Amino acid sequence: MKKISLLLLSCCMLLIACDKKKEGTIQIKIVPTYGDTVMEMNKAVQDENGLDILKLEGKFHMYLSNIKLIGANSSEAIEEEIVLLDLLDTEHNPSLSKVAAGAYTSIEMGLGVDEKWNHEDPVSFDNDHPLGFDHSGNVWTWDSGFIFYMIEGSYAYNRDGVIDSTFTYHIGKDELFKTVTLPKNIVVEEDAITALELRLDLKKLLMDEGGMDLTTESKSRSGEKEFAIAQKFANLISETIE
Amino acid sequence: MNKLTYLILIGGVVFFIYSCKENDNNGPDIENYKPTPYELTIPPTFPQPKIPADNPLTVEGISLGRHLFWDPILSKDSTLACAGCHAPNLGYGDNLKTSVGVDGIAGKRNSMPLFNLAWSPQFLWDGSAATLEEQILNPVRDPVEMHLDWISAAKRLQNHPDYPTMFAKAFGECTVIDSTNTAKAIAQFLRTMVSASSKFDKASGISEPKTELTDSELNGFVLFIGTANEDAHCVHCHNKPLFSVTDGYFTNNGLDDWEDPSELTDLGLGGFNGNPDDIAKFKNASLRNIELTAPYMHDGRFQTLDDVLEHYISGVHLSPTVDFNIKSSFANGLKLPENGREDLLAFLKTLTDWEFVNDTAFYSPF
Repeated sequence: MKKISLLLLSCCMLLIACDKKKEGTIQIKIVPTYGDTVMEMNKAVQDENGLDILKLEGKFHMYLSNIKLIGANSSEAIEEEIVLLDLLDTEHNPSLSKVAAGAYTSIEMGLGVDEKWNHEDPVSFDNDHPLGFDHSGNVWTWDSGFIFYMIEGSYAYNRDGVIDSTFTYHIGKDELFKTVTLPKNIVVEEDAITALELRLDLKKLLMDEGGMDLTTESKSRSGEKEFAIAQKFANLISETIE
Repeated sequence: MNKLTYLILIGGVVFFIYSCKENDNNGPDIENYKPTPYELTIPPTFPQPKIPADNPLTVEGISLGRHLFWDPILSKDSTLACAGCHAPNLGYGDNLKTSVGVDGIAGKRNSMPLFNLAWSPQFLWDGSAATLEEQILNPVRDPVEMHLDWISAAKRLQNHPDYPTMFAKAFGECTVIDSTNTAKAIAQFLRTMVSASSKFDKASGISEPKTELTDSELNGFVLFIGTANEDAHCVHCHNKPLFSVTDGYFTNNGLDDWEDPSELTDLGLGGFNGNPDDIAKFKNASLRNIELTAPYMHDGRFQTLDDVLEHYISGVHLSPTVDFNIKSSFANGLKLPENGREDLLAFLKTLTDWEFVNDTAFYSPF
């Protein structure tokens, strides 16, 4: 009887051990760049002539929804419904835990807050939830929606090294929610943390030909009067993020 | 110390412990005594309040806090209560540029109105108090306010005919009457002071009865929340439901023209935490009850709400730590449409909560 019990116990342990999924963690962060130069808050970057041209100030945040990792054989791992990336809070890069270990070749994600949460009141979440009250500076409380991304800063209007003008983009509204798929080779190892870095080139977005025209399109908070600018910015950001 | 002294000392300690723990059939059940929990009513759209685990709200604690708030016993010459600088009809602030203490000396900052403190993450204009309990310790001992050391304050309370019983009911029989428990009781009382019944709240369905804003108030509201040209951009720093900034909490709203901090008389948050990026930043005040809380700003420099609007329309200074929204939206002055100023003022007055200021539950119990 004792032997049978031991055998049964061993079988149970084996089953439990087999059942344990091999999982790891992905720590996700966003890095703003000016070309190849990494940008920091409140520090101007220089153009090819060494003149100050652009500076991030104020706020820089972005919501990502429905993050999905796609493997070589089209396998999918959906790991996090919503995260908030905040450049001012680099100490707390959001983690996607319980990601199935393995190799992935791309990441799919929504830039912003999916419509299914976008009209929720922050008080319906825990205060420290990405959509909760502690982050309610990221929500238009009278406009029923979260600010998908908020990018603020200043620039040299005349490109003469004198940073004298500001840009402000607060982009939201359901119709500006974009889903992107980025090629990314990510290997998630069991019980390990893998860094995933997203880059946003502000030179391409704001200063290069084909980007925003800062002389006439430097501000939008997605309101009716500025919606065309918001639309252009949302399109550009979905093409620029990598 | 001789043996007899030791014996007396040990005996005293044993007696103290015994008297606190033993429950004979004739006395109160001290060990199991619990003050009555008090459930704070959270208005719709308000988040969960920040109430410390070591100071839950109780009926007895709130009652004690209310008495202590209104009792001048905590000031040097027993003439000034907390309520002396926080009057109900003034939104629980005062109407002085900067408050005057028991010695007739004016402090350097304007008295902050008291309401919705259960949702505040930091206290005082410069954020130097991390908790409400910590904040309460300051005015009692501050020489330019109530100017009474806490040892003397505690002795007065211990020798009072009523307070020892009230402390026992609030915190248990063997509670020490000291600064910590005094501050805890006052904090409990202050956390019950919830303001969410203004005309605006009634118009937006947060409180009853349902009411409607006038055309002018509604126009003002649209300007208030608007962030395009010819809007007022107030919402950046005064978002609902608290009408204060919901993150960051401290801002430099462009009050002073300075390049070097030595030009300033008050460094604000930067003076407290030593961070140069925080110089000239002050706590972002709620606009609830703003009609009642003049004069305005940390130093009471603006006498009227119209003066405040004028600051944003034509007077902001782009100093080194100025808030980005000020720089971005107010650098060239605020351009309001015709009647915009009047409409905005009309809307701001809808944030006055007469039910709150007339609520006798917060008035003097004496």
